[in-house]
Amino acid sequence: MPTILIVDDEDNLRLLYRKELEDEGFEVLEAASAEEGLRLFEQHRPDLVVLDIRMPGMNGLEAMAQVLDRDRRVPIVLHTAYDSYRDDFTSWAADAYVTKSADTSELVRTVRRLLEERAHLGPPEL
Amino acid sequence: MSEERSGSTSTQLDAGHMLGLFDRAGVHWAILDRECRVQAASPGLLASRGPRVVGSHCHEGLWRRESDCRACLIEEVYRTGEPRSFWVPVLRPGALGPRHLVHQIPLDDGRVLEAIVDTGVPEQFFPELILRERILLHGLRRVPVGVLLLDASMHVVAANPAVLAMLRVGEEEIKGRPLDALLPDGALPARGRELARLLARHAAITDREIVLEADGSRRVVLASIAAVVGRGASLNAAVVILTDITRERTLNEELARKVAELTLLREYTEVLSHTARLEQVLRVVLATLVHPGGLGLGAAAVFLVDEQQRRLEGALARAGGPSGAGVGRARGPDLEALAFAPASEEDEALERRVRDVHVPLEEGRHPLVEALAGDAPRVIDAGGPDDGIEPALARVFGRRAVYLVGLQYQGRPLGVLAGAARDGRSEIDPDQLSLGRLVASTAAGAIARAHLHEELTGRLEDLAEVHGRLRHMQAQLLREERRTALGDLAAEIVHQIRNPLAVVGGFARRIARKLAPGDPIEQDVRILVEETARMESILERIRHDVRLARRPARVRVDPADLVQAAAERYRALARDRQVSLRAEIEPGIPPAQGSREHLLEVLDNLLSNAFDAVEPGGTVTLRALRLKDAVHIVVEDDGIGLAAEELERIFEPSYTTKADGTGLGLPLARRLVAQCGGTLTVDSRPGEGARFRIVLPVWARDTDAAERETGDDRTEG
Repeated sequence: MPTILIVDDEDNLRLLYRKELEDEGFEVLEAASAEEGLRLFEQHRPDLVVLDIRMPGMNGLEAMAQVLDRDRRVPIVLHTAYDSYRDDFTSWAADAYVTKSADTSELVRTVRRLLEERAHLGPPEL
Repeated sequence: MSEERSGSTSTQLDAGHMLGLFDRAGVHWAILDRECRVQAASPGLLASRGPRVVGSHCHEGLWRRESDCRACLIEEVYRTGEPRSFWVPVLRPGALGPRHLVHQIPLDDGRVLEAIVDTGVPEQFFPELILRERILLHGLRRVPVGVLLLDASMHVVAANPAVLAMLRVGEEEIKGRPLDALLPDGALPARGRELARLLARHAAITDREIVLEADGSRRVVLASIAAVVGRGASLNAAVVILTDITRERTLNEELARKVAELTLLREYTEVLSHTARLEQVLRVVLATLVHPGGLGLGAAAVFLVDEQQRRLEGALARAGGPSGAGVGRARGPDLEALAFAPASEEDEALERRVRDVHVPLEEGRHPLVEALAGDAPRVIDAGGPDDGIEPALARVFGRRAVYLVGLQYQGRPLGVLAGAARDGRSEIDPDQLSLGRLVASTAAGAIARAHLHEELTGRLEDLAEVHGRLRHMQAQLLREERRTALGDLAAEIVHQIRNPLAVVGGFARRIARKLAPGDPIEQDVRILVEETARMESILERIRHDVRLARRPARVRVDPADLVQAAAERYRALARDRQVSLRAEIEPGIPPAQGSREHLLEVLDNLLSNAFDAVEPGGTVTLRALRLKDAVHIVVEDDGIGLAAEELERIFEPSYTTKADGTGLGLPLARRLVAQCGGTLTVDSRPGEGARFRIVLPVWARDTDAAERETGDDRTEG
């Protein structure tokens, strides 16, 4: 069962996504900040990371860079209410960019697709 | 006779009038009874002889002669009833003497009026002058007051030398002549018999100003007439007193003229000092020339040197007032008011003739060119056909004396002032030429200054233009800043609302999914889901708008690329719907001002509408073409078309309230085009398709584009 790490500072949103993804059969880890997210990533090595961008403290883009430093192949989904970061080249390293919405189907579709693609690429590098 | 006459009070009154005249003229008088006793005397006699003169015999009190009264021969006057004049025989110094002329006039009441006129010969000459008639007459000519005695038929009985001099007649000539023959027509209110009747009624005529012209000289005299009126208002005699005021009057006129000239000159320099524009300067100069207080010319014109054409060109002209207006002491109209008064028809006709004058500077013999070169004013007299007036000048001013003076400033010839005499005067008063010269030299300075002013104004305008551009750019920057700030705020609001909305909507969806079919709250939850979705789509549209609004829209865009890109997006849809999609691009179309991103949105919207409007088999055409300074991008379909009332409303925001989530609508399309500095219009008829037209400026330099972005850019507000 793939494990997904959700990093988002808004509790209710995080709860919604966790429930939706759990409904889809994923195991979900939650972090309320980038720093906590990085710790959880170190501890659990999730199969995919969903990152909010605007958060107090370290923002999502910095967190993404640190995650990629640790694992260059883990799929990362930037999940934000802003789409302005689409134009920020630092966001280009992300595998997907999903705009937050009440309709979570795009997020779920994206997560599935990325995990399937990853499965074809084989096990992570060491 | 004497008894009959003594009761007449009216005669006394008439005599009183006459005595008043004598007093005014400085003539001593006394009224004597038959015994030659003084009954009344003039104030001058009373003052010099004392009050005791009244009641004394004339030889005591008046003549101071120790003899009887036979010398005065008053008996003769009583006997004949005729007036008599004589020179006072030698008496002694301090008394009446040979310089005095005496008139004895019988009065109606039987008394005699004795009028003694001082001829002004100095007393120290008496011993020398005794009975020297020639010298006496010489002295008499200096008497300022002329006295004429008239009989009842208004014929001259006697005259003193002063009168003879004034009237330029000899003593022999004047005796027996009617008064009418001596004075010009209209000098007195009536003539001959009528005058006699008038005098008999009114007893006196006072201070008539009479101009006597003879042998080319002109004298102004004041005339007064006193009548001796008999019973039944019959005239017995009359005395005419003439006072020569020529010198006084001439001095007054001269003085008034000088004052008027000086006043005008002061006004002229003052008006010029606050007049900067060339045309206004010239108007002031011309007004000064025709002003009645100055040269009082009948017409004035100015000719200016055109240095590039090497010609003297007629510039402006001004006709004078009607002939005779303002001549004399009149102060005349306000110069500035005269200068800027609306042109009369006469002014306009004159100015047209003046503007027809173009004289090459090489034509040295032309009077205008000659005047330009010389520094002295010239007067060309229009005497006859061979008067030397150049036909051009005669065409402008007619056959009149023309006054020309060159306008030079620091040795540089600027033009010529020309003035024509008033109608009916062939000459220009030479005294006024100096005034004209003064006017011209001041005018030259003012014209040179006006030229400088024009040049400076030109440079100032350049500066103002640069300043204007800077202000436009600044305004644009401010707008840009405001737009960014508004965009930031909107984006923040969208973000802040979006997260809680996602939470609400997300959980609503979860509930909806978990409800058993037919659950009573199913509809409630569905509404919750739909409304949050609608709110999200509104937020999305705002976000989209803000994103576009924050981007610069007045940049360079290639219409060909734009049309191709827009068409490309609809190729697949065209195939699916079996619609023919054509892109027609004029070869060599220039770049336009606009933003590719904005315009693609607009074209997307227009194409989407067009595809909705056409039936399968129909055609949608995209066209790019240049018309004048604009690039037109046209989206045309042969679909169902729009009704007239629809055409009016499709750009109203309320008309497109569909919550379709992605559609931008025509109002936004129009706003986006406006943001690019262009316009979006539509032309359609039901059943005949629709043609949407985007008109954009052809892309020019960056500064021009910046300048265009003024005023029309209210879309972000």
